[in-house]
Amino acid sequence: MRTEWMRKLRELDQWKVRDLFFTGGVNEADPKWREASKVYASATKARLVIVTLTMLLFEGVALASPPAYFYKPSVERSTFDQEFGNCVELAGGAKATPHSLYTPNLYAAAIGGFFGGIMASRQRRAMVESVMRICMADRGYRRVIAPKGVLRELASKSDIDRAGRLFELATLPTPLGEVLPR
Amino acid sequence: MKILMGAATLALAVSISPADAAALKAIPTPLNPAKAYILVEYKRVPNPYSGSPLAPKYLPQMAGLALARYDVEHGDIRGLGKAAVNPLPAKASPTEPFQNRPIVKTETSVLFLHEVEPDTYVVQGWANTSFSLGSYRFEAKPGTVVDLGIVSAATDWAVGEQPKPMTAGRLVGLALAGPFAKMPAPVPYRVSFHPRGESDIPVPAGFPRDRVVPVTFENGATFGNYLGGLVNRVEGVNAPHGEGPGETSPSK
Repeated sequence: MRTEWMRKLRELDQWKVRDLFFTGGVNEADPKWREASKVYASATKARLVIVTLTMLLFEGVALASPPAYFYKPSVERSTFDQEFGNCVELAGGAKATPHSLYTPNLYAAAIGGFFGGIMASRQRRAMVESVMRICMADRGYRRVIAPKGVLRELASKSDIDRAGRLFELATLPTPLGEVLPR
Repeated sequence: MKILMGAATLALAVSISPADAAALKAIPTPLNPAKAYILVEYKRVPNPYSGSPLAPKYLPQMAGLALARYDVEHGDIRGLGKAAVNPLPAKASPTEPFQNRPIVKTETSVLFLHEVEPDTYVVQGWANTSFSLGSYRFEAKPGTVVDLGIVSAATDWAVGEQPKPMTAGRLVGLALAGPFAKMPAPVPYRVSFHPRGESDIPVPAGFPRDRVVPVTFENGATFGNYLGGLVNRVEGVNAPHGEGPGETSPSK
């Protein structure tokens, strides 16, 4: 069984809502179009979270915790999909505090906006990581430091294939790496 | 310019929802039979720098409980997510945010009274933390005062993790690195409730005694992360009182 966000990603690809959106010519009163818009928004949010998680996993942002994956050897694939999907949805709700700067100096505003954007982006990534960590710990998962080879392998996969590989890693008889505290 | 100002004023007026719920500053007499009332006391947090000159003994109450109207059947906050089919009347907000307007204030505690629409409510969050993973829900019936008791919040540190002290070297490092400085991971809050006792603020005399009922919590309410921050269980996933409900020990 696939999770809701996976289904939405597949529908997104099938319906090519993005193409519809940018090429125009759609009837916004059409119920099918309205449904497609909702799917697009939801799937985009899920994809943003996955991309953020990928960044956390691979880029080693300057946070206190190392890149890690979730481990629970007894879990079934359907349960993993559901629990991981639920946590991704909760992480999708995380919003960073906007940093705004008012100054009549255009250059100062640009510099302030640039660094403010960096800080807000880092804050959001940290929040997503915290939500995933707490949410998955609540469901009995442990974090395992991901070896570099695993990181490279995951980086080369698509979103859906990566979810499959994360399940394989979660259910290995022996975790590949150091098990972290909850 | 006048047109722009008028449009901005109109937009602001439209964006503000009518007050269907509010933190009161005084006890209404008599109680409105069409409304429900929620009474809750917060213990004030001691100021760690109270020994400094002119420093107050306790920190100001900057954060508190967020309550929300809950749809038990669909398992979400009314009008949102899974409960989108059960919306509130137009312009009514499902969330009762924290408002720093106590009706009684002592040196160690503050007592708040909320006037709300009768409904099923859930403890939605505290500060930047949403208790989406599992929270308490309770009934607020018309013409009654639900006493939530005394609430206290704490940061839900993971096992083996504690805040690092802010040394001079660390402060200089943070200042020099700016947005690129290594920051500690954000930590969610957890809260705990206990019934009103003799050492707490008594229920104000203005309330009819037969209308004040102690809360009956039901655990396990889940909902989406609508506060936009961190998530946790209301008692804390990492709390030292026990393992998380879903915890299993992985074999190594």
